[in-house]
Amino acid sequence: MDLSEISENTKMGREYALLGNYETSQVYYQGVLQQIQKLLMSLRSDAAKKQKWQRARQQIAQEYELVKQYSNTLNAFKTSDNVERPISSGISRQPVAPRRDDPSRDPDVWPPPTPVERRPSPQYRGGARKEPSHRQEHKPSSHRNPPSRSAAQGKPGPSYGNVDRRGGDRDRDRGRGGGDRGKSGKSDKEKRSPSNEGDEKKFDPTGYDKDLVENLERDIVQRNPNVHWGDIAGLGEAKRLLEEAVVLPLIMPEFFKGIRRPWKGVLMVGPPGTGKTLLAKAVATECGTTFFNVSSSTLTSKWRGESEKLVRLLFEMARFYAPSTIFVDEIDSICSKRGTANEHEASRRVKSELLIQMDGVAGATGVEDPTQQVMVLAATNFPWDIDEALRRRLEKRIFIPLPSTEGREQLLQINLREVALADDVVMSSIAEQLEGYSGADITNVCRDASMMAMRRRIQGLRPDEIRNIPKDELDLPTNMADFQEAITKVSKSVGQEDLQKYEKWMEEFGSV
Amino acid sequence: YVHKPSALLRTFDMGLQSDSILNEMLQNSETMVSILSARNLRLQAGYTFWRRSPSALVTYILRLNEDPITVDLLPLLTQSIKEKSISGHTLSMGACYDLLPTLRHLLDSQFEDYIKVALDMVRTIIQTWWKEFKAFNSKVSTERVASDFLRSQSVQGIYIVLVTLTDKIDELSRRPGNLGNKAQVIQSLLSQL
Repeated sequence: MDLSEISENTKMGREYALLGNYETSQVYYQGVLQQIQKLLMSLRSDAAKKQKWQRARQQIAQEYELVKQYSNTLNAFKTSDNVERPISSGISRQPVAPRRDDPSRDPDVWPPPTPVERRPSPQYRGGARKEPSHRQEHKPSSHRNPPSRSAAQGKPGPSYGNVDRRGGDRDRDRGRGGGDRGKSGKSDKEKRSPSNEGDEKKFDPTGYDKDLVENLERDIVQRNPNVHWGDIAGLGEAKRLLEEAVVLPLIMPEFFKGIRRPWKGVLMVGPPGTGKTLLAKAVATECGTTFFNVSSSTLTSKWRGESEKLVRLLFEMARFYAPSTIFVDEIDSICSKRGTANEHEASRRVKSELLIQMDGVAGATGVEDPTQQVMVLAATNFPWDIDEALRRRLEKRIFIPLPSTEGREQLLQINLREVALADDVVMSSIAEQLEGYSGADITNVCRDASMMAMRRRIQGLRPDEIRNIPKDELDLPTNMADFQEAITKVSKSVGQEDLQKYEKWMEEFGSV
Repeated sequence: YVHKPSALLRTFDMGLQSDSILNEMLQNSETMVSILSARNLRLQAGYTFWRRSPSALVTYILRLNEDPITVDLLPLLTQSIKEKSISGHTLSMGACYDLLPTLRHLLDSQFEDYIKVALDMVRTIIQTWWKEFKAFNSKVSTERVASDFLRSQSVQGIYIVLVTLTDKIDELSRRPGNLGNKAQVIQSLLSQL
């Protein structure tokens, strides 16, 4: 056994510990402890010596323990993030809280979709959410077990294969002028039958209703888009407003009553690439409401009249699954101005139905309980094309502007979170040069810049040579020159006169 | 250590040597343990301050004025400046201003690691408040305007200290290796200011 080695290692361990390199020091200490252990094994006979060494080992072990403890405390500094932040005033700063590693986040906010029965998952975060009692009633009546149910109600047992819900039978009966339309049929319809409009079908009743409902249920965002408030730079005002419209009514329903009822509709207006859709994704992730992501393809059909029914079905489903958020991206495609010459009659009716559903006699206003509300979130690049009646219904019309200098800097930071940066990168300087760039443009610049190093490396190589480049050689840090080059290559995508148009519109119709 | 031919002598010598090594180890061990436990204690205290706020930690570091602890915690503070716009858990400019004398002192240190940590911090300070320094610099000669009053008072202080650091940085940038590179980056940043 080489004693001098033990002594040498101990010295090294101590030196590293004193210099602040605790990880390395720990390795040395571990080595020393093992060596002493070995030595003790070989010193079977010599009791006195053995005792001495045992003492030495204890001492070293104590040192090791201390170093380990120190290093652990140091690590605790890095991971600790326990500054409580208020929900609303701190939205713009909230970012840290909901990071992926945050233990307080419920990982099950949106569990993966269940293949058999689609229903919003019960694990919402919003505590105020109540299970509506009628839901229990309806739960067993998924689309697959209808005959027994209608029979149990003593109805003229229509065994039309797939008729799914009680109200559904009635509606269909009524639609055909069928005999038994009791008073209960009406009350049923009012609240209980959320998703059965579809079965007033003139075409193949088997399977059609199911299709419609399932079409819409497919648009309920159940998988977690995984966009958090913190992933969106700037836009503090927009975030605050969306929280106010979506989250707060769930938290403090008693406040949002009467004149203070929550906003029914929010319209996000802004040039392309400024984060409107991203905001909607964050709403879906963070707010814990049922999120319907609707596009014009969801709401159009080749069958005459079916589009309107889809709109209605959508809102009924939303009310059933309340609280819910209906997000309509590019709403100008669904609800442009009525009464223009080239407007098709069918789309006119879709628009009317949308307007009625949003604010009709039996529309969303009818619901008094703010936790039961349905909020329409719309986004558009062409606010001037939107129908004026819809404009009224979207009570909050907010402008999502191009990012400010601070916003751009944050955007850079968010985009470059996972990119190794060289020491000479000055974010504020880059941010200043990106004046007039939209969020998407900035992301483009970052992507381009972060690939520069790779491009330089693979220049002029053959594919098999490229394949053989070790990973760490490709992963070089991005430096300032890369950014400069990327900025010259990527130009901004939003023109000045466009911005003026938005400004003018906001001046006239904005409601912030 | 001269190799002795006699086996008996050698074992005797080995015994002596092993005893001396052992004694030395045990002796040093006590010092080590006391140093380490003291550090541990201080770090624990620092952790309490850190949980309160980064600025509290800076105050603590300054009061403690012990290089090892400072160096261990500086990377953390550097990180917390870097994330200024994302997280709420940040270090203010004033706190950095207070730290500058310590950094200056660390730059004179004989340990390369200490210098590196200090250089990182200086660089991050420059990068983070780049805009402010630039604005300050461009208006140094002209008369004061309204925005000057809105600016943190630390800008001027930090700026001046950074300028006085230039000489030291120049000196460090001539050093070889990683350290020199880090200093060179700061040098070029300072020249752009």
